[in-house]
Amino acid sequence: MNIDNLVKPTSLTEAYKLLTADQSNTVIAGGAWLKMSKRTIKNGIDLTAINSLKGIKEEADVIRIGSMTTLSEIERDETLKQYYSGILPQAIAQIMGVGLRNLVTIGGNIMSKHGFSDIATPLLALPCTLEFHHQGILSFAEFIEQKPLKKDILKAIILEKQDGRGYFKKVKKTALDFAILNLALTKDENGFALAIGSRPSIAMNAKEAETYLSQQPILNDTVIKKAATMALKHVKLGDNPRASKAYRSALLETYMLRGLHHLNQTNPQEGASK
Amino acid sequence: MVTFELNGQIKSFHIDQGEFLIDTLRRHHVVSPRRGCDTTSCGVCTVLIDDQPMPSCALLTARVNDKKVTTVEGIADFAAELSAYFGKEGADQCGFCNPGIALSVYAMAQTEENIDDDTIRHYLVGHLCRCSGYVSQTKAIKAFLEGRK
Ligand SMILES: Cc1cc2nc3c(=O)[nH]c(=O)nc-3n(C[C@H](O)[C@H](O)[C@H](O)COP(=O)(O)OP(=O)(O)OC[C@H]3O[C@@H](n4cnc5c(N)ncnc54)[C@H](O)[C@@H]3O)c2cc1C
Repeated sequence: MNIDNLVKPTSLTEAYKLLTADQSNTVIAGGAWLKMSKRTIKNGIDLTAINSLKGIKEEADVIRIGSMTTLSEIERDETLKQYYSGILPQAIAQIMGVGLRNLVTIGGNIMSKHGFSDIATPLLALPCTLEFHHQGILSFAEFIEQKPLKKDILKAIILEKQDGRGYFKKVKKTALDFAILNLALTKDENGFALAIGSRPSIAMNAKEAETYLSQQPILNDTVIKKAATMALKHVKLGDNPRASKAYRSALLETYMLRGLHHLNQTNPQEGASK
Repeated sequence: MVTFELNGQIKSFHIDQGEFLIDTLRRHHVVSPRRGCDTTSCGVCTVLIDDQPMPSCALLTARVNDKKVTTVEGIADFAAELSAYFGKEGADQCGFCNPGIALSVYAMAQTEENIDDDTIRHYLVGHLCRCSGYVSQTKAIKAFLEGRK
């Protein structure tokens, strides 16, 4: 990345005006992903001086995570560690090392729409919306479907406060590697949510399996197996150099069974990957 | 122009707008932050920013204005003591990754309570060492922290 000029706006209005003034003007969050691109950026818009984009705030009905919050801040947050068995901080703690997580931001991760994102998967299984400066509120699924991505500034990730339990699994070959498959499962009063990521494309919900599971009065082995078969049928998996489609299918089935058994049996605060 | 505290001294540098901290430091002969992968994956360029480890290869220098930047020279006594334990455990060979690791161990010791093997591994992830298998490093760090109690 080459930056001709670095600008540090102090308000969102100013930042948005700059962003839309020239096609090559680009928002810079942690800057770690942009650093690897070969782009030349006319005006780099550094968001670090906009305080409203930073930190995690617990409000009456929601938890707001500012887009410039670093992954480390989320990993250590006590409220988020309790929220749906802490699947979001657990997923984040598995991204690279402490140093990188001190630098990179949740907003940068979401806006990059990485296929391998370990954050998109849990967020799709949580009651979550995204707040943009210009577009207002979008559901996470609407955002993923938006192509091409509109030039806008992500303000916050909004998590609805609910009592729920969760399970997250990242399958990877080494500590620093991208996921071969990510799976997040949650259960609350509205039913089940199941998201699969690193398919290798960007995460998606297994909608049919979610609906089926949510309609069942009890979760027994037959129900769990049927839900896994439905997920395998509807979630599009593929090959890449990390793993084959066949291997990903085997992983999806295995961890879906384990996750559902886990949610069925354990106490609400245990979301640990098994 | 950017001004920050480097290892206890206030310094000012002329920089390009899009310059990364590793380039600024190395241009001014502070070469302990090494250039490795240059993509934030290997940990050899680690520095402490306000006592937290970060990869200097992806950190814009303009962003450290008014902050505290620490390289291994800024924790010289701590690093010397740690390296003696590394020696005893045979935890290193070429030593290229050691400054970065020493800074992360320093940050860990400042931040964490009840440090166990898992905490040490948590901080070692992100520091690639192709000489060791991390076991001897974990042992050395543990013994070093025990020795400091
Ligand atoms: C070596 C390496 C390994 C990684 N491994 C993993 C991994 O295993 N799993 C994983 O999930 N992630 C991984 N990541 C990605 C990381 O988690 C972040 O997603 C990535 O670094 C982007 O975050 P950033 O803060 O650096 O954003 P930047 O690089 O600053 O920005 C990324 C993009 O998002 C845009 N952007 C940023 N913030 C906003 C905003 N608020 N509004 C609008 N647009 C915005 C920028 O304009 C840019 O296009 C890895 C990154 C690196 C460098």
